[in-house]
Amino acid sequence: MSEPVAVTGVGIVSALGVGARQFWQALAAGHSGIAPAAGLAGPDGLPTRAAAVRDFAAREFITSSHYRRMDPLSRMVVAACRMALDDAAAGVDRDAARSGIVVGSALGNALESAQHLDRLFLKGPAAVSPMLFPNLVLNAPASYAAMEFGFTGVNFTVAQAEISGETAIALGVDAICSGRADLVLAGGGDDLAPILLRTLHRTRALAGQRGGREWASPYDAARSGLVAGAGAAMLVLEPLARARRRGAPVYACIAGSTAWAVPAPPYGWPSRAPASLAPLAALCGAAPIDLVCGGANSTTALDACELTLFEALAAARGATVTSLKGAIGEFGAAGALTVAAACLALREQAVPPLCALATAAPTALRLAARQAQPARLRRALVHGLARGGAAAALLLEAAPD
Amino acid sequence: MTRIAITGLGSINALGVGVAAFEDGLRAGRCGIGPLTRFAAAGYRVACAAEAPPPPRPPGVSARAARRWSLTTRLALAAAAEAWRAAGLTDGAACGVVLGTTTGGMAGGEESYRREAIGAAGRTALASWLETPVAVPTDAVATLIGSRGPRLTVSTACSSGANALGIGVDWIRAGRVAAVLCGGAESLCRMTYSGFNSLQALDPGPCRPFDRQRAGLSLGEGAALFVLEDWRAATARGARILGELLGYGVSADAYHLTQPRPDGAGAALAMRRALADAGVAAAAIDYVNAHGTGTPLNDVAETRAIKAVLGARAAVVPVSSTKSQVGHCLAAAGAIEALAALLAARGGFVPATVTLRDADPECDLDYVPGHSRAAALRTVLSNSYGFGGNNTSLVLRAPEAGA
Repeated sequence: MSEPVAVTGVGIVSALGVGARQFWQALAAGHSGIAPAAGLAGPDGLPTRAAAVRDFAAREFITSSHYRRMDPLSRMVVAACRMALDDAAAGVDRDAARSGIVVGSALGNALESAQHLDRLFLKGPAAVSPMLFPNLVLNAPASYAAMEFGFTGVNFTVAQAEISGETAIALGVDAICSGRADLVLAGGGDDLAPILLRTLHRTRALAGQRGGREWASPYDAARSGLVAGAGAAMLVLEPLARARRRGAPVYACIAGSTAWAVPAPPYGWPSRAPASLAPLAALCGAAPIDLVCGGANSTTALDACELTLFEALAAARGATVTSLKGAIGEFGAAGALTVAAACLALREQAVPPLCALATAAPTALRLAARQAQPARLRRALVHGLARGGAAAALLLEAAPD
Repeated sequence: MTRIAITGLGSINALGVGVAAFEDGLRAGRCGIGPLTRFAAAGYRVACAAEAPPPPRPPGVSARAARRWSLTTRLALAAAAEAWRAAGLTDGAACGVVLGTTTGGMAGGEESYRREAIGAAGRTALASWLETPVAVPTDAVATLIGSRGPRLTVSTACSSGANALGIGVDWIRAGRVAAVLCGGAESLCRMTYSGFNSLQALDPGPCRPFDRQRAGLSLGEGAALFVLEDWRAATARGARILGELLGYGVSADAYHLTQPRPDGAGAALAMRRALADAGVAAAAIDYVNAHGTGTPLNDVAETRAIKAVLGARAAVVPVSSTKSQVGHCLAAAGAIEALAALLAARGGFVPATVTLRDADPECDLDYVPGHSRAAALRTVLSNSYGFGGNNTSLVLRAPEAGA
């Protein structure tokens, strides 16, 4: 990697609150965004709970006339972009042609896609709305964001199931390292889509469907499935030297990323750790990792796979392991919120909690407490695994003094 | 700068199965746009599409294993298997995969959705739901070649396939991988067909890019995949080099969700960035494979952009839209058209805009109307623009004679 990439702004719309400050306060206090949610239940009455976004007034963050046309997901992503840019005070000297946007989303605007199909199949092609259709492309949020801020630089939308967020941020870092942009808004968003919940329900992936409580507790011995969530997080990325030059506060630096794949059945969670951890070990290097923010989501196979993997990773031997999915639920862009949380953890020097942990799964690793704990954190690994076997990791470092 | 060798190519679209069939169709100037049969046309304003033939099952895959796959996955796998075989790489473990798609397995997912919405009897197949997300075809392609490397699904509407190739270039340049299988795949489905129908963006007959009478696009389907490799690694293993991907450029219009900037400034910016990335002067471009959708707005804006970038040479450089032959294959379009441009440069011909009869006065370039023609080409440009104002241009080059 040519030079460190700094995170200078964080914008969040989540079940734990809107804005980086609210998000961190709720997360650190050990709150969970998982709560009763109406209208989601399938044939067996589940799910009744989700980590839905609440109390989000998009209009406070989106001032343009595009607001009216935007779908709910685009509003979340564009609002998160606005918060991140304001946070970074990046409006002062940015060159719009050298500013880009990378958004990760597993499903995009699934809510309005369902509305579109309802009209098509229940009323016929003539009933389909020409106003709705343009919003259904996966890159609508990134396109609205480009319009909102006038950014004419790189503009990518990527998807990779549950690691869509990590993947987008890694690509954003690459865009800066390759010189394609000087500033990138990178992150992701996903909505709580009934169509996804039904599919998770059909595969009996939801907490409570195989007995046990309807709650998510990553790395817990009593875990039985995931709880779905929603939200968006966008980060301002820029070369560290540029951030220094303009005197911008730096949350953390992204020192590198890697992506690979682990064995997984078609459409299924990875069930066993790969034979070789070489990509992950190469990313971590020899220096110790202090904090691991995993992708564990309270699914039996996935969490066990991840613990095996971290146990085999020499650099992570002294690390504290945590996962946000007990607080924000599982969704395609959850990793974007995890990277945001890791940035906040490095700035606040505190380990994000495993808020719901009751009985830890057997592991040699140190798991996080139920509330944030102060700790000296220099290097953090964010790790994600997706259905289908794709895996991604980012290495973050505390901002240099 | 690391050079990028193209060592494998795979193709399926309305002109046929395989790269050779595509090249034959381009040379012959065949139009693959015909009656829509994939689903009932009742209720739509138009009834034509560029449907792909049934994709062959990749060698070694049982019919039972293949049954769960969506049409997009099957198109992707057919092209991937051909490209992989051509490259002759024996171990896919370290190979990356980047695939552009916008609707994934929606063709099957929407049918299951329809059955439930209307209360049809019987259970819907679980696989049809699991196949729907856009990243699923990427996972299938990675599994086909035994990839344990990085994988990524790009979904930037109609520029997805072009961006997938561009990101593949960046991965090799950054040293993330030595080889990457990348491109785009897309099947026809009612969601997109009804959407473009509602926008009144579909031509009732085969689309007529740059024509005075043009009335919109024709939707198509297909896949094109490329094996890209670090040039030194490819030559070191004695691979047959099919071409070079010199570079790419991306821009956002930041203007409108469905309409291009009328002045073509965003499109011109992407072309200029691609030329700079490739280290090639505008004067070196011998052919432009246009985005050329056949919509009134695109074709004029793109013409303006090409003139802005190529300057006086725009009057003599052939520019054609192969969408007149394979339709608009959405997320696959960028990769299919990059392939068309490369085949032209390799084969010494310029593909035609086969449906063009009477050019729009505002479209005043050499669009190669009607029939392909022989020409010595070396360096070619392929443009792809998507909903949301996503612009991507690629610069490719045929291998030197005797290579």
